[in-house]
Formats: sequence, C-alpha cells, structure tokens
Amino acid sequence: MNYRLKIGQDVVTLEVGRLDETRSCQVTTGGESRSVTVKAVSPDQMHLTVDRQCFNLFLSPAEDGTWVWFNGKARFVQDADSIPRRKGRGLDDAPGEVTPPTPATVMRVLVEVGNEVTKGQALVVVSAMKMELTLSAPYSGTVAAVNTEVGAKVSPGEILVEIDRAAEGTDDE
Amino acid sequence: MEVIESRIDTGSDEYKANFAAMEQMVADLKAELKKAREDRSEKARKRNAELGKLTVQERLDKLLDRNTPWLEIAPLAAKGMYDGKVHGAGTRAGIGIVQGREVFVHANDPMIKGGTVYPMGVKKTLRCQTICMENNLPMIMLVDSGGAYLPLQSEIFPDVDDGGRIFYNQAIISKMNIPQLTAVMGLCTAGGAYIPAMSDHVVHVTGTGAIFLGGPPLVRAATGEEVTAEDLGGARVHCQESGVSDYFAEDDEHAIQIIRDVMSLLPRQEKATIPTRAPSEPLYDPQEIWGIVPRSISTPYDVREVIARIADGSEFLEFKAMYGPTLVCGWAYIHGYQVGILGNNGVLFSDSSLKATQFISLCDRQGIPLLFLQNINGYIIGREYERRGITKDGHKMVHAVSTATVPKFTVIIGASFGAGNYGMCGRGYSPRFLWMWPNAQIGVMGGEQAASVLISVKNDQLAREGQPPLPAELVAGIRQPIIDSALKEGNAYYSTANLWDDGIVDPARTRDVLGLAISVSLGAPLAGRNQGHGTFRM
Amino acid sequence: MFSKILVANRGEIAVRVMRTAREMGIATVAVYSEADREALHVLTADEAVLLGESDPASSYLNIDKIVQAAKDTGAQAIHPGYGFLAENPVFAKRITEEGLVFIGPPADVMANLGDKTTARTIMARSDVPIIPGMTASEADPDRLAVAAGTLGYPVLVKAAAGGGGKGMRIVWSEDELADAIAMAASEALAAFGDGSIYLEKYLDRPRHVEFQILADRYGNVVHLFERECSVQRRHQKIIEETPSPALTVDLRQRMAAAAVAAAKAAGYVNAGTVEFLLDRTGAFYFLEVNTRLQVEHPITEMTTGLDLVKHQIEIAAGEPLPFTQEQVFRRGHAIECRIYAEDPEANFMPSPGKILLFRPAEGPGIRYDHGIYRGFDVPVNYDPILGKLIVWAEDRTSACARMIRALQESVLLGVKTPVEFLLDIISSEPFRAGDIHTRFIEEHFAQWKPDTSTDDVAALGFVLNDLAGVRPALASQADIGTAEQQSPWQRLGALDLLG
Repeated sequence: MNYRLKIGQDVVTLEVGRLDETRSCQVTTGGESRSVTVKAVSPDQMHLTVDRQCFNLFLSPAEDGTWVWFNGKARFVQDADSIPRRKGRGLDDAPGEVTPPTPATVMRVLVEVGNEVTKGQALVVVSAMKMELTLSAPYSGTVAAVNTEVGAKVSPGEILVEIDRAAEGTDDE
Repeated sequence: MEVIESRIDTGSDEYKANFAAMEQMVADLKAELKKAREDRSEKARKRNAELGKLTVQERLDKLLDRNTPWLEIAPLAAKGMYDGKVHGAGTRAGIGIVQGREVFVHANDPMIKGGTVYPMGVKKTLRCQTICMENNLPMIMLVDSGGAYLPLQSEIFPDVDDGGRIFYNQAIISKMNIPQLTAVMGLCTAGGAYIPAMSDHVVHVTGTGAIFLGGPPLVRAATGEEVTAEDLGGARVHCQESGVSDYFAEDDEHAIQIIRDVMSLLPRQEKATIPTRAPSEPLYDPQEIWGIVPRSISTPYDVREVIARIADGSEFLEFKAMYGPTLVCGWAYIHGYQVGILGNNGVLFSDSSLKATQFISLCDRQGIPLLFLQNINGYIIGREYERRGITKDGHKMVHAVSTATVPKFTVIIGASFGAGNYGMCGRGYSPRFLWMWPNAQIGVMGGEQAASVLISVKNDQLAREGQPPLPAELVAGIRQPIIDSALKEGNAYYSTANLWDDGIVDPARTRDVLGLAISVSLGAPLAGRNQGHGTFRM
Repeated sequence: MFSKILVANRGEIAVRVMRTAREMGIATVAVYSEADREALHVLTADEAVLLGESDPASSYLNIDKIVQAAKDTGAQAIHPGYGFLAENPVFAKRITEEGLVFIGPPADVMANLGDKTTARTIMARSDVPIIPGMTASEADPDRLAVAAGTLGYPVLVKAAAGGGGKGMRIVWSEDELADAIAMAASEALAAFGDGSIYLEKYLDRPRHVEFQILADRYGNVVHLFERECSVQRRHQKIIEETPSPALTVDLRQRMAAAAVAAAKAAGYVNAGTVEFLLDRTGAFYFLEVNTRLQVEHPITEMTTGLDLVKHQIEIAAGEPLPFTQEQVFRRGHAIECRIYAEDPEANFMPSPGKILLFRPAEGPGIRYDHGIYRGFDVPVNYDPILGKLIVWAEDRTSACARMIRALQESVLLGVKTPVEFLLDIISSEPFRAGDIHTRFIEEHFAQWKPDTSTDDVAALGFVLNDLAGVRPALASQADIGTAEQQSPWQRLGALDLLG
C-alpha cells in the first residue's frame, strides 16, 4: 500500500506493508525501510516503536485530515490522494478555437491583430437567438488574424480570431 | 450452541508432518501469486512508465479504499497456458471496497501482452460479470487493452461463451440496474470499444485512452487515411464531439478520482437479511488446519475439525448427527452470518444423500446460505446400493442443490471426484463462489481408480477377443501415465488455470474469505424463500 | 468574609478565581454570554447567569447586567479578573455605590493610575524614576515635535488611555513623527474612545520587570518580588518568569522599594503590579501600575507559596495583611507560557475552533490554568487565551527543562497554538542565557518556521492509525453488512486474500 501524505506544504510518500499479528509492519520512506510496531493506548493515544525507538503520539481525526501531536509538535496530516483536485482540470483547455457554437451575428470585436491576449480574455461578442455570447481566448498568445467584422453572419467552424499560441507553459498560472 | 471439541493432538508427529507439508504448499501458492502479479518484462514496465500510466497495481491501490480487504478472483487463471506469461489471463479482477461500497473491479494489465485478450481472458471476464449479476455488485472496469489476441481469434470470437457475450452481459447488467463504471486508460479497440460504450459512466484519460471501432492500422489498411490514436478516439474527441465518454480526465490518477466520486454518488443498496449475531473468532486457531489435512488425498479426516476452525466460537449445531454419518450437516456462524454447512466424512450413501436433501431444503426455506466443504470420492457403488436406489437418492440431493435459491459457497478441501462433485455443489451447480485448497484434487475419479478401470476395460475387451489379459509389465506402462495425467489435470493449479474455481485459498484464510463472500452474496435479494414446496422429511 | 462572590469574567481566570473561592468556602456565581453557554467557567461555578449576546458590550462589558446578576444571586462581592471591566473605575465605583464590594483597588485610585500622565505625575512626586517624557497629553503636532526634539530620538508615541500596545508607535526620526502621531491617535480613538497621546523617550531593547504588590486598607504594603516579562510579541507578554535573571540583590531592593513607594504614593489597596522598564545599564523607569490581578500572577504564587486571589478577597473583605514584608519568602524559579489559540506562523493571527484533544501535562512542579476542555468551541468573540502553563523548579535551568517537558506533554489539538514556537524559544541559546528583552522575538524569531525534520513521525502515526483502526468513512456507510453488525469488509482491514 502506498500513502501520499500532505503535512503543511510537504508531501511525504510512504510504502506500507501489511500489519501482521504482532501489530508490526514495514514502512519505507525516502528509500529507508523501518519496522514499525503500533500499540493503541487509548482511542487518542498511540505508542509506536520504530526499529527500537519509542514514540508516544496523540491523534485526533478532523474533517479532512488528522491532527497528530508528537512532543509538542502538532501536525495536520492529510491523505494527499483524497484531497479533491482543482475543479475543471482538463476542461479549461478543452476548446481550441475561437468559433461560435451556433450560427450568430457578430456584435463586437474586442481585439486587433498584434494584440497580446491572455487565456480567457474576451475576443468577440456574438448574438444568436436573442442571446449574447462572449468568445474568449482558449490560450494566451498574440492575435494573428481577425477574420470577421461587426454585423457579420458567422457559423460554427468559422475561425473568427486566430491566435499564435504563446510559448508552452506561459498560458497557465 | 454446542462447541466442537477438537481431537487433534498438535504435538503429534503426524500433525507436524502435515503442517510442514501444507506450509510448503501455501508458500508455493504465495510464490505463484507473487509471480503472477510481478513477473513483467522490463520493456513493458518501461513503456508503461513512458506513457505516464500507472501500473495496474497502482491503479487498484488508488481506486480501492485504503486499509480494506481485497478479494481477488482467479489470479492464477491461464497459469501454464500460452507461453506461460499471460498471468491471471491478462487481467486483475476482484472484489474490494470503493467509497465504503463493495464493488467488483476488473482491470486489464497493459504490461501483459499489451493487455490483449486471450481466450482465458474472455472466460475470466464472463465469470466476473456472472459474479456481478448474481450478487448485484457494481462493476468498475479499468480498460487498457489492445483488443483480441489475433492469432487465437477463433477461440475468442464466435461462440455463446466467447467475446460477444461480454457486451450482451453488459446490456443485461444495465437492465438489472447494476452500475457499470469504466475508465478508459488505454486502448479500447473494436469490440473493446463497446466496453465503455455499454457502461453507465465513462471516464476517459487524455493522451493515453482511446476508443475506436477500428484502430489507426486498420483505418490505414481500409481507407488509406493516416490518423493518430488520439485524433481518432482520444478523450477530447469522445468527451467533446462524439459524447462516447462522459468525464475528461487529465491522467490515470484523475480518472480514478472521478470513478471514486461517481461511486460516492450512486444510490445505496439494501442488503438481503439473514440471521446474524455478533461475530467471534473460532476457539481453535484456523492455522491448525495446516496440521489436520493429511498429506495424502486418500487419507480420510474428520471435517468437524475444519468446521471447528472456520465457525465463530467453534460452535456447531449438528443436524441428524447419528443418521447418515458420512455427511456432516449443521448450523454455524461465520463472521456473524448464519450458515448451513455440509461437509464430507466419507462417500455418500443413500441415508447421507437423503439427509443432505432435507438439510438443503431446510436452509433454503429458512433463507440460510449453504456452505459445502467438499472432500468426496463419490457416491457409494455396488450391487446392494444400486438395488437400494443410490442413484434415486443421489438424484434427490443433486436436485435439491440445483434448485436451492439461497447463496451457496463451495470449498474443495480434499477430493472432488465423480458425481460427488455435483451433489456437493461443484462449479456446474452455480455456487456464488468456489475455492480450492492447495491440496485439492478434482476429476471424474482418482488416478488410481481411472487406471484400474481402464485396464479392466481393456482386459474385458481382450477376453471378448479370446486373448490373454495384459502382461504385468504392460499394465505398469499403461497405469503410470494415467495416474500422472490425473494428478496433473486434477490438481488445484490446473483447475484454477482453467477457471474451474475462483482461486486457490490458504486453508487458514478460508474463514475470512467466506465471511467476505457471504457479505457480498447478500447484495442480491433472497428470492425463492417462499416458493415451491415445504420441506419433506426424507 | 463573603459567602458568595460573582466573577465578572470568563475563561481561565474565572475558573482560577472560582477555585480559590471554593477553597475558602465561598459560593461562586459565573456570568456568561451566548457564546459561552458551555464554557468551562460556567461549568465550574455554583450558579451561572446569562448576561446576553456574545458581543462584549452586551455581556462581559455590560455593567448594568453584571450588577443586576450580583443582586439577583445575592453575591456580596465581585471579582473582575483581568481584562474586560477589571480596570474600569466606573465599574468599581458603581459596585461600591450599589452596596457591593469590588475586589480590587478603590475607584479613584484606579482612575488616577489608569491615566498614564496622571500616574507619571504621581510617581514623579514620590521620586519614583519615570521615563523622560511629557507629563501631559498633547494634540498639537508642532509642540509634539518640539517635545520629541527635547527628549531625543527615538521616541515613543503612546495613547494616554489604554494599553496592550494599542496606539503605540516608535519614531526613529523627525520625518516619521507626523504620520506616527496621526496613526497612534486614530488607533487610540478606535480602541479606547480617547485619541489623546503623549511622547516619551524610547528605550532600546529594555527588559520588562514588574513587582507584585499587596496593600491592605490599613496602609500596609508589601511586595512579592518581581516578574520578568520581557519576552513579548506584538507588545504582549508570552513568557514570564521569576526571579528575573537580570536583577542583582541590590537592584532588586531598589526596584522593590520604588514599587512600594509607588503603591503608597497612589494610595493603593489590594493586589497590584508596578511595571518598570529596565535598560541595559541597570537604570529602571516606572512604566505603569496594573490595578488588577495579572495574567502572569501564578509564577509569583509558585515561588512565594501565597494565593494572590485569597489575599485579594481577604483584603476586599477588610482584613489586614496577615504577614509583613520580612515574612515573605521566595524559593526556586517559576516560568509561565501563555497558550493562545493563534498561529505563530501567520503573525499570531487568532485561530478559533473546536478543541479536539486536550490532555495537560502531569508530574512534579506543573500547573496548567486553563478554561477549555475537549469538545469546547473556542469562541471568536474574545481574547484567544486558552490557558497558561506554569512550572516551578529549583533553579532556572531546571525550570526551563521542566517547561520543555510540560509543553511537549500537554497535548492540545484542534486549534493552532504557539506551543512549538514557545518550545523553540525556551530551547534557544539566548533565552537559556537569560539574555532577553522586549524586542527579543523580533531579534531572534522574526522569521520563525516550525522544524519539519521529525514530521515523518507524524506521518507514521497517520498511517498506523489508518492501518490499525477502522476507517471512520467506512464505518458510516450504511450498506455494508446488516443493520445489527459490521461486515467483515469493515473489520478485517487491509487483507489481500488470494493475493
């Protein structure tokens, strides 16, 4: 079993063997393997023997992690694998082109050739079915071409604004 | 309840010798299991890592709730077949806990032959689906497969229990309202494309996951079109354009997280209710079974000694203890669940068959799961017994086993020969699960018997032709190969390789395996309790 | 003697006062706000009266309600603790007017000492050394600038009312003065409703040394030696000790005499504290008189063996001091650490929350005065002090070692606390050497970060707890097992069967 634990800003990885009948298991971290024996003194208190060294720890589970007390040090330990990912990962960069989703009329063009744009910046406002919709930059870069003008009737697939993508890694935060 | 008093002397030489023999068998088993899990080529490992994929073990570790049991199904399927490298028939499958729920997990191992599907792989997948259907278990599939192993396509493709059945089952599972979740973590080619398509929830990993009916090589061959796998069936294509996939995942870890999230949202299922009580450990250490099981399959042993090490508190209320004593029947609890146990203490006679029939019927009426501990050489034969209608009584038992609707579990703890296999709920009788101990033997009859029968048939034939019987030196030459072949084809590894069982289990772990399996079996309602006749006194 | 007193405070100090009252056979009345319905002081008292809403103005600062509570319960005297109304002469006066007894100094004495310029004037008259500075508050920036020039930079801008560092600014040169005055005045106005300020000479890295005074109504004044409270963050004490490592026998005598003189000059009655700044040359200056029981009073109790609260109550009941200066002895060394719900990594921001685990240290020489228990929700409305850990030992070195053990063993989880920070300070070389002053933390611990080198132990704890225990997430799932029992899937843990 592998554990990835978040303590403060650090993430620790531990490879943990099975707990045997003597409540012992092998724990490998940072290439170092140690034998750990656990004794639950009370629901809050745990005695650990790591190789031959003894530690008394106190634990308290909280909503998204566990508080661990050891010799005056309180640490909030979280299971890094169950901390939710940032919402919308992958979807952010899913669309790749500046094109209307339905046939529409261009209301405003907000950029010119040569403008630097950042990912998410509004480029063109179109209107369809009495609704205005803003088309924004799928990635950061420089406007290479504007292929439309105010009042133009446009359809899906027509690239309204072309952007030269900025160098890799600059369009994300 | 009554407690079984063990008569085993754990200090005896016999016990120690048995123990050492089983210890070796269990060690061999563990070595085989380890090999099946870890024996992968460096090339395959490297390729997997280069693609940024997790290994199948890592996928399982991240998917399953930590610190929960994992009950693997058929880990040694296809052992010794093909080139001996298609471990577990190319997949990892089993029952585990995801978001607190029991689920079935079926994962291709792309480090075995690129995840291609061998004939035994199809058989294993079908078995997994059967488990889902019988126990109402949600199915999570981690798909990463190059499709059918083409050189063996004729053994995979057309028949009723071949590849097509997988997708048929998926439709039926869906109709049964059993959730199916698929993570596309590699290729899903041709038929494989239907695995996600027929699932309720499809998560698609960008960059590595691809779904298409025809892969780039086939497209090139058929139409001349040059296209990449990602462009043909990648996550963006299927999440944004085709709608084949539902959730876009950045990588394997992300996909697993989405699967876990979806699992947490599924509606809760009621479990069937059977009589239970607070679980307790047996009075006798289950590991003592190692010293109880004789080294020879033909040495009898008292099945109560096994029950004493499986049942909670070693408690066992024996049914008709004095009648038909070659079959032990009675009630016990395993991990808190009440079960009716049938265990062999010799061959089946008319009386023991009738006792079995009545007991099975009682359990079925009362909604109590049945556990069969098989150690059986068959039904009694001979003039007298035939005249008394052993076939008629055996029929009653086979009939009762076949039609019982409560969950049935079978463990082959010794011999499993002849019609005994049927009456004691062999694979053909749809036990929810069937396991073997490493010492178990299975076949129409034992090797010695088979050899004797064949030689005697041959001699009869010679006699009819007016020739003398086979000379002794010829007899030996015929006899040994038959015994050898029976040993090979009858041993537990041969059985498990062929998916005649769900796996080989350490006898000391049997109790835990059964506890988990009973819990799983309660996912499906006990449908038949109030149907049919009442119980007949036989 | 009183038969019942009301404690007009909350938290650890209310609990501490009630303990002595109980030992004296006096019944106690707690008052509390909505936020403190389940606070420890409410659970400790014999009677409890709800004052009102959680905001201090509706509860612990509401004089009418507190007086009414005393009358309703038949309490004869009121102990104000520290903070809230403890140094409010209006409160003291009102109590006396209502025919009750205020356990503290007379209202007029409190009023005089509460105004710092008045206090300075009184002290100057009695030859108690005062920090060079203005004797009256001033609003005109030009006159302030002249005064600053006379005193010589650096100077300190201070609020005439209040304390706790509010409205205080250090000015290093003339061009910073105008801004500092404006900010100090507006801060003082916001905090105390009075924007008056004055200037005094700023001392570089002085020590804060204070003397505990007990005075009865009959003119008897004794001191109970000093407390050194130099280790401060944001002008608030966090570690106090006695004796001060800086005092010689002679200096101690001179400062004590000044303290007693100051108390006499002010006509002081009851327990009070005369605070001095001690500069690096051994010169000391009167700072102010705290007309109440100090937070750090337990270290004096530990070394003198006297119960200050008991003497406060006896003096308030009109009894004479039962001992003379010659009968006051001191033994050993005591240290106090204040345990706040605060984050030492984030500029000591308050960190309220639920106390998930609390297990104070045990063993010789340890005292933990606190107002919390496991499960208590530390309210956001009040001072975030949770308690004070106090140790006594034969000498300073042993006391430091004992404090380290006590901090390590006093488990407190759920809110952030400065325990690790305190441990690092007490273990540090300059602290051990006794080389402390009021800018000690800025000088040595400004960039403090916790040492993470033993975090792997915490990680092991998490993992082994996970392995050895039942996962709570799993136990709460309804569909595993039947209603009556847990399924083996929950009980068996990380078994890999057939694997």
